[in-house]
Amino acid sequence: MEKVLQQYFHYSSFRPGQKEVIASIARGEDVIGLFPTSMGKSLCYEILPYLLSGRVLIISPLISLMEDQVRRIKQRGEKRVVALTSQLTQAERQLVKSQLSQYRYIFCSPEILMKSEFATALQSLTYNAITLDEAHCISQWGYDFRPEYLQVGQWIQQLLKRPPILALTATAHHETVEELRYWLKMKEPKIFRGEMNRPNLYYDIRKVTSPFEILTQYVEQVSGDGIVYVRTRKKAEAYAEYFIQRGIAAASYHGGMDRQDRSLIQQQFLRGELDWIFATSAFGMGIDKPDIRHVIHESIPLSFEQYVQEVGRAGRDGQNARCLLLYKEADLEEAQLFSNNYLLTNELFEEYNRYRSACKSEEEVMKLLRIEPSFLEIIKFYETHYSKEERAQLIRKNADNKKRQLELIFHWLTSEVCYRNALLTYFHSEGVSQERCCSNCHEIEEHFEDTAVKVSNSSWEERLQQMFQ
Amino acid sequence: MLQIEQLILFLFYKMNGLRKRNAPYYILTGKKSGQTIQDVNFYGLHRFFYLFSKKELAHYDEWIQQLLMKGWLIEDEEGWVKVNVNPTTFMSIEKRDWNGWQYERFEQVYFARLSLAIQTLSYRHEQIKQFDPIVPDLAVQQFISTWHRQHSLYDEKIVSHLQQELTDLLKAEEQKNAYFPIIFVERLTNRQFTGKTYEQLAERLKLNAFDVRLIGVEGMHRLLDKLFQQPTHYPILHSFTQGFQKKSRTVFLTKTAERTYELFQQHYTLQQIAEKRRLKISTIQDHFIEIAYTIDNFPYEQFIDSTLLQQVRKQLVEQGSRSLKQLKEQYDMLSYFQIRLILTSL
Repeated sequence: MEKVLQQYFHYSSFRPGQKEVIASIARGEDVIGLFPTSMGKSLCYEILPYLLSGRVLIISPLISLMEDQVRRIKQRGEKRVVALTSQLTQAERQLVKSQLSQYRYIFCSPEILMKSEFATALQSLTYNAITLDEAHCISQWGYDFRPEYLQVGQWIQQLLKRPPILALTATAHHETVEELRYWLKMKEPKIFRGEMNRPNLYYDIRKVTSPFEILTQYVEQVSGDGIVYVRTRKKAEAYAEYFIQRGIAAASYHGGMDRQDRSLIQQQFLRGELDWIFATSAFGMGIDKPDIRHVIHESIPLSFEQYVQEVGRAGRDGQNARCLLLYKEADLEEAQLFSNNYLLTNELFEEYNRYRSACKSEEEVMKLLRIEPSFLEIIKFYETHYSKEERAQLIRKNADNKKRQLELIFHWLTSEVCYRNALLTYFHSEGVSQERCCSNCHEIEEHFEDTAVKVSNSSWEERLQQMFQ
Repeated sequence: MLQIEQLILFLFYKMNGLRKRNAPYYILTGKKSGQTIQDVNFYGLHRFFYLFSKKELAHYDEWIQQLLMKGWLIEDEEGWVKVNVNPTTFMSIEKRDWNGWQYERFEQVYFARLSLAIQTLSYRHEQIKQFDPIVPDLAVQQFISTWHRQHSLYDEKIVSHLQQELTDLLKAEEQKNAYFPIIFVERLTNRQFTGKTYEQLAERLKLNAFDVRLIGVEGMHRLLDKLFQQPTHYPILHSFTQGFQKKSRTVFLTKTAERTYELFQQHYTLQQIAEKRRLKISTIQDHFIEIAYTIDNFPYEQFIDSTLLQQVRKQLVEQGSRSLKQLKEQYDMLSYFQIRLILTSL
């Protein structure tokens, strides 16, 4: 196996957890892989076509995530990869359909898998493994619940040849593991875990009265590139605007941007033409720069899984990096309100049913209720699977669960115990002791190298000439 | 006044207060409904049809709010919108060179192809075979891949010709709008430099981001006009337009409807057209509806018995508007398609 690893990926050895997962899948076993950061988890399925020949199907919840993974795979020279998403143009769709069986990696969402024009073709292909990425989306207790994930298990059963299932997830809860086993109809799945600790990260958690003030000071003072996670698109744009005015190479990055713009911003960030990105959590994921020195949370994360994934962007190159989290007293309440937007309530169901019986289309319902399509799917799921009484119970349980998660976060933030070890405990991993740890262990001053890129102010003719050099 | 504000006011102005607030939005995003096609034809707004994607016009509602607040637009209780400001403030739109219905956003594809070509050729000195293409669109990547195999973007002669053609063309465009060459060039990516987004350009040029986009699209349309007028002057640049069919000036249909119309004129039946073009019958029916709205003397008798048509038409005019569903219940012997056709004749 190491030979294949070297040949296609240019790594000399596997990371903890990877080899076990791969070997298990190769034996035909179902596997649940726990990797809180995305480092190393994609290798588990990427290596399979080279070891076993054939193709892998990867089911994923986010378009941007899929597109970035495809880009990454293409960059290492593998062309036989595609992401089947609603973003494909008509021309692309034709092209892809005609050569579908030639791809080694097929990424798609559950909806595409089961309801799109590709559905029949996808069902007729054989796979050497089916990967469910971000598998925690199967859990109805989580923030990322995607009811469509529940049907995937059934879809897999229908296949002529049922391949091994690989569920990759950040969360380690028994509940989720059980949900995965049940809904995906896994056969005695083996559970392996990856690297939990990130030794080169320093967790700097600060309670402040004005996050804006501290953030602006920090960004203007430090050197090295960074990402700042904020709650809303408006905030992302406002912050970017603010720093641009002050001469900092910044940009916002969020779901409202089109594909081409996202591509440009990412490329600029990767090349050092941009130093700071202000992103909403949904879109931080695709950024794969090795030398991100700072990841800042300008508001409290809604779960540990989310937090760990987001700070996981920092210091991929192994060098020291800082994770700054700013929170204020009122944040717990604000986070609660924010998460309430995603909370199911009895009133919501009543409204939903009222609109539906008035024959409103799904689009109209979404607009009236002011919800995203993914949230509508959740409502529909509850409508079809549970009785009114059962629903009321679940709604309460869901609300309690979300509340508990936030309280856990807040408890973690306000405690005086080592932040790193508290995280590791949450993920059922062993504690560690290291010199450069977190702001509860000790404070440190540090400086980073700045990779400045000169900005040219040449005329368009000069610039055009440079383009052709 | 922002250019986008001028554009919206101009569209409302042309429609004489007879439309509601979303009418310009549908025109600008190229909605292919009967009403919108009718508006475009009746008011002569072809140049503005399908200039933008829905995502690009995400702030449309905010712009309308602004215009209403400033009192430049007035919306009455029934929703009809009228312009309330001196037309000289936005009449300059009349002279602008957008040509939406002709290009139907092909300029996006064209620029993407050119961008990728330029990015590709910047790697010709090094042995690098792989790079991260700045254009995520698979069809564009395929196009350039094929082009490169046929003509070679690594050939120094081709590179210098392309550079020359582009410099000449942009110099000419500079006369029309000094911003355009800057916008064009700054949006390109190569080995060393990454292209800028419209927002970033707006920052640098001290313009509104959407205005930058408007200038960009307009310039691209002029550029494409030139390429089609003088293909031998700019052979390499022209070769990137491959696959694009220019529309004949006589009939103002969307590209795909025009193709159906051509086949129809060659006496193919609806069924045959669907088979030949490998499209759904319902799609071809949509084309026929568009054709019926657009051309004069549409041969309705080929689809519905004439006497029946007259009968139903008379009744419809008398009873006023009904929903399609209600009409189908009322005229059970007619198909949905036939009913929609009859509606186009009213």
